Amino acid sequence: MKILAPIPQAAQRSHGRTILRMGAGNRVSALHQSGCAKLFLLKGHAGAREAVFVNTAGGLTGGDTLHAQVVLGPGAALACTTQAAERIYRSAGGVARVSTELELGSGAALAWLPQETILFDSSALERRVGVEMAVDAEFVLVEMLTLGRSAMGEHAISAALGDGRSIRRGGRLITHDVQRLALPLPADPALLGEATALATLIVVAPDAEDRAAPLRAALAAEGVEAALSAWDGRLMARLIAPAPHLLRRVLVRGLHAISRAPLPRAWAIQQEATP
Amino acid sequence: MAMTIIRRTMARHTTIADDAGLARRRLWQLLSPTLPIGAYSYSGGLEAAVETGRIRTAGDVGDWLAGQLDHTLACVDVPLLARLHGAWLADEATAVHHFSSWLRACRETAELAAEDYHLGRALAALLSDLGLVEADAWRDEPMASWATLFALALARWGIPLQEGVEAYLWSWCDNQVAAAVKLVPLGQTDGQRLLQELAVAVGGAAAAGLALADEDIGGSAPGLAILSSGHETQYSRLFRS
Repeated sequence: MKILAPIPQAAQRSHGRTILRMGAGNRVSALHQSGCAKLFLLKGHAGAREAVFVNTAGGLTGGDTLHAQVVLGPGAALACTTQAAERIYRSAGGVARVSTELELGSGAALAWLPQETILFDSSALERRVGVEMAVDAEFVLVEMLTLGRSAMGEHAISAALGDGRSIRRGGRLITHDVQRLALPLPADPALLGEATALATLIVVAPDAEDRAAPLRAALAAEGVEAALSAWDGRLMARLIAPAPHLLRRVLVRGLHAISRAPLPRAWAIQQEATP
Repeated sequence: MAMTIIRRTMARHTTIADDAGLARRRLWQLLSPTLPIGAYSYSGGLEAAVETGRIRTAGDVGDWLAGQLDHTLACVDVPLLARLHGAWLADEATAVHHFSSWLRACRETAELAAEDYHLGRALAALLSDLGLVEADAWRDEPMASWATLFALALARWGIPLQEGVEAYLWSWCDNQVAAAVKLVPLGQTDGQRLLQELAVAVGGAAAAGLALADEDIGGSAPGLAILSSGHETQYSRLFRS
């Protein structure tokens, strides 16, 4: 008699959704959080607002979803970050999906500054940030990825990543930046070489090109390959490094060089000591 | 309307319509390195890679080109070229603009965007002079892209998409190898060996790109972006990108 294996139950997956709408004078008109996603609003100096996104599931794996929407009305200003680094765990099937929709009205300013995302071995992530902004709004984004956990001896991990940022300004698509990494990648000069950490920094603002020189100076650092290009009211910087801590340090310096507003605490601390 | 230059009556060797053959020869014209669009002054980041010591040998050049074929050209240029071709065939001007803007939005640095723009405008001027009236408006179009006008030529000259896509990729390889021969420098035979190998890679990149759905379009090469950005402040340069 054949004994059939029990049909496996689909594991409970995490889903989280947050919505934040702020209007003139930074007045919150809507705040929603559900599932594993939480959102805290902090008040800083001179009315500066900081939104901290939390994933209470403590990480993501295949089949999980996280969705965030932030809408800033005219003149509103907000800096967003996450409570912790996002961990993308080994997938038992499927892809972790993270999507973010950001809307900036006339004269609004939004800084999207999550802490780094760490890809574990055999993880799969699809992440998209979509931005709709007015021509006189200001948008700053930093996204950092760490490939594997070097402390656990994870080198040259296998992982599948689709990571995109699409920005429309005044209704026109100006940036469609999609990183597709089927890890491990061949170590070649057009791609990542030997890097295990990479970051993208984007500024879209009427004065974006004026921030190029100070940022260029801030990005020059031993062990980190970084360069930026600024044109047409936008600035895009890429950084890669063989170790995440080197990258983080340079990113903090870079953010200080280009930010016109207070940075979230996670990014405000400049560490000078060498580890 | 294009001027007829050849006055002598050419003997007609066949009365059978040879549309496919004519389309093929139009494609060869598009592929010619003597096409007057100034492609020779762009190295697409290669000069920066050589200047910083990242590319030193023919093998390095091969890795550089193969990496981009698989990770950017196959995922960005090919699928958008195909969609541009379809839009031109369907006479959908809005769709042409949409895909052209999308392609330009994928360019990661000022130099790469400018290269695409200038080559696109130059091809627009040439196609307009060769009788493709629709190209005329693209001489001054801010969102012009090389692929946009290349797709127009494919559509109006009856060139099959598969061949057109391979030709687009081949033309890129050919220009890059010519730049590498100048910059690294490489011997001519090494350059030819590279082209032999790239011929194989082009087939795969074309097939992969043509199979992509909208949501899978996109691919960046961080190393390329860093080198191309750095080129903007490079002290002495032969190339504009």
